[in-house]
Amino acid sequence: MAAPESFDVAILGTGLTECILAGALARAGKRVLHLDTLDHYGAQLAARHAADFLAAVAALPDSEIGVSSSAPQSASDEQPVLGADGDSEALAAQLAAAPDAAEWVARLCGDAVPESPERLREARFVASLIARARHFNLELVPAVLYSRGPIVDLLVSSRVGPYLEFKLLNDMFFEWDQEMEKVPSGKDDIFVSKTKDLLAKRRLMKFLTMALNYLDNEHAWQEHANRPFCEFLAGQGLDPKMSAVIMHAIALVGDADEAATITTADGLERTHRHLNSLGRYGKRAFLVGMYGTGSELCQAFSRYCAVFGGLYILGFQPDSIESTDEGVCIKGQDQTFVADSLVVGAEHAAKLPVPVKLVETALWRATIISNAPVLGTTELSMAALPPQEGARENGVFAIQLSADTCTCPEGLYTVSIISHSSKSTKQDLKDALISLHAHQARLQSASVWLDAVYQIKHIKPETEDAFMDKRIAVCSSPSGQIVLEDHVAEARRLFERICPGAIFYPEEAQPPEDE
Amino acid sequence: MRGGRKALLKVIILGDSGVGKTSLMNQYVNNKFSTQYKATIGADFLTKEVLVEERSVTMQIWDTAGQERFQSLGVAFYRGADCCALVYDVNNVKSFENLDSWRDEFLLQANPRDPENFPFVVIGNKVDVEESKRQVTQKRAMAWCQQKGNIPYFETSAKEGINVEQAFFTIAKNSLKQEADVELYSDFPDPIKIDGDTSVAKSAGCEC
Repeated sequence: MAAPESFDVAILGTGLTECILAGALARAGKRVLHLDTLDHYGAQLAARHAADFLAAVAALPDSEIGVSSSAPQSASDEQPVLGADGDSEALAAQLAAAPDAAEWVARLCGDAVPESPERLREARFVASLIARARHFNLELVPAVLYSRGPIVDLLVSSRVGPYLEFKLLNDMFFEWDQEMEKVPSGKDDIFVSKTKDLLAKRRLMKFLTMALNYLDNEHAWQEHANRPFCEFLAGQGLDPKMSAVIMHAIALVGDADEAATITTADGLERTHRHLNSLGRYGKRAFLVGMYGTGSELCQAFSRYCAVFGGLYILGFQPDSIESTDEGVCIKGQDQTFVADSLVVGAEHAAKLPVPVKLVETALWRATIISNAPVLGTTELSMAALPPQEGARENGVFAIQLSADTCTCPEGLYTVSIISHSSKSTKQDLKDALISLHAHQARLQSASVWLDAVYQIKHIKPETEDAFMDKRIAVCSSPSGQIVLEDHVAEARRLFERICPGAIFYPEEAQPPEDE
Repeated sequence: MRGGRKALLKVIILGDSGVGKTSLMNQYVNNKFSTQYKATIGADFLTKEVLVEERSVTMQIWDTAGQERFQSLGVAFYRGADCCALVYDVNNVKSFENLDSWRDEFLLQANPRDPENFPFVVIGNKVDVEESKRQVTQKRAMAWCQQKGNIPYFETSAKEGINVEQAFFTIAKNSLKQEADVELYSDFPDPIKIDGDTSVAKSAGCEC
């Protein structure tokens, strides 16, 4: 066994907090060892190829994957489905060409040779997904970034940004009375829309103008600051629909309890965050990463850490982690590393030699892969589906991506459905799928799709102080929110504990010149 | 991204630790060589303007930043590469034998549209070291290159600056061919770049 290598900080897990922290520490001159037991970056945020994605979903307890299609209304409506038209001979040829496709076709469509055109089409669709599996970058935990938010600001100031490429979500929809409507993104949209009377439009404009500069307009909301935001909205003369648009589609409050209790100050802050992001990179507020948002961010911050000397070992299986007087000692794969501090991702907490206090929540999610857009546009877009009486108690969000972000091959679309509430049930997500497919059917006469419903665990330390003893800290897995912004603050807190007084990502960091 | 507007080429340099990847880059871009080996720290990517067939091209040459040491380069590193230079040390047979796995890893991770015709260049570095220490003959290396689809082969010394210019010129020329083919496929608007310093982004997208 080689002599132990020593480091200032060892980090186990390549989730987003870990990677942002690693980059900050290396930049501050710390010797960083960054490990992951997996052979890829991003932990839960990883983007996967189609077969890997389906296998990952299938491995989650109580998950479901199904394939369905809607029949064409008439022969003239028949639209070619990439790789999914043709007879059973064509299917046989497809399966012969991609042997691993047969397994998924049998699993999702049954072993028998499909008889009806619909079943045949579904089988061919599944076969075509697996045959082109490598052209997918599917995320179990997809996310978006505010154009003006902590992550984008950090990408600019740290110069990590140039490693990455983004696209703007071009449309934002809102479900109301079983219709999908566009959320207005500015003055023009509000006054062009024909559904609202002029007075309502003026009230909405007045509210949005105030919220955009809410800190300068404290007089307008100060006395309501700690009272519920929903009451404040009602008091602005906004109709229930506009209040719901603001709460769910603009402030991104999807959880019914949170919508009822969020304070006016917090609600305005979140409204402001959205409005303030409009116009920075285009008309809408949210960015998504090419090839996946979270996994690409993790890799970009890791590269930054490596450029500043961080040592990376993926696929490292620790045999033991011990806390000694000299530091934390990590042994595995015939190597020994000693570090003054150890930070681990929550999923690795069980390997620690100290008791850990964690909170675990489980959130249901769903993913659609279809040959037709679902949200009423072929563009990258997002939709807020607020709570609905008699149906879902909590709202959900949907993000539609496509080949535009290299999420899937051309001609296909993916929609990820996210609930912020641990109270949302599997049935709530299935109901959301039904409503989304109903919207899809209105726009498209024939389509074929795969639905996956699954539950992801989100783990975080019980208290904000993530240190479990003087050397060892645990950081959260993704919060389950549709935005990832909280990871910046968490990484900064850890950084400030480990490097008191040092600057977290100093501005205009230039990689050192080689002398 | 149409009409040959993109004049930015991403070149990645792969090979075992210590074969001289960073030195080759530095020799080519800065005409500098450091005799002191340290595992790469501080190298990100270097850019150099080159004139290829009367066209001005910015080559962006990406270093592995040491992440190759434990095979921990993420898929993002490989993405969008227009050319891949595979480097080995002619005095280290293991580094030559590993070219196979570096090439396979590249094709797997970068997932180029046309893997058969993707432009690789093979560089046998450190030919300045005395002949008796040499472990890989030119013949053996060229046979490997031929077998992998006629990959252009160069023997270089980053230390003496031998053949480095020629190797990178071939990289630029072949990347440009590849890039011209790929452009035809792009139906989508250009992605958004987020950067404080925009010198790279400017040459990528704002020239017309």
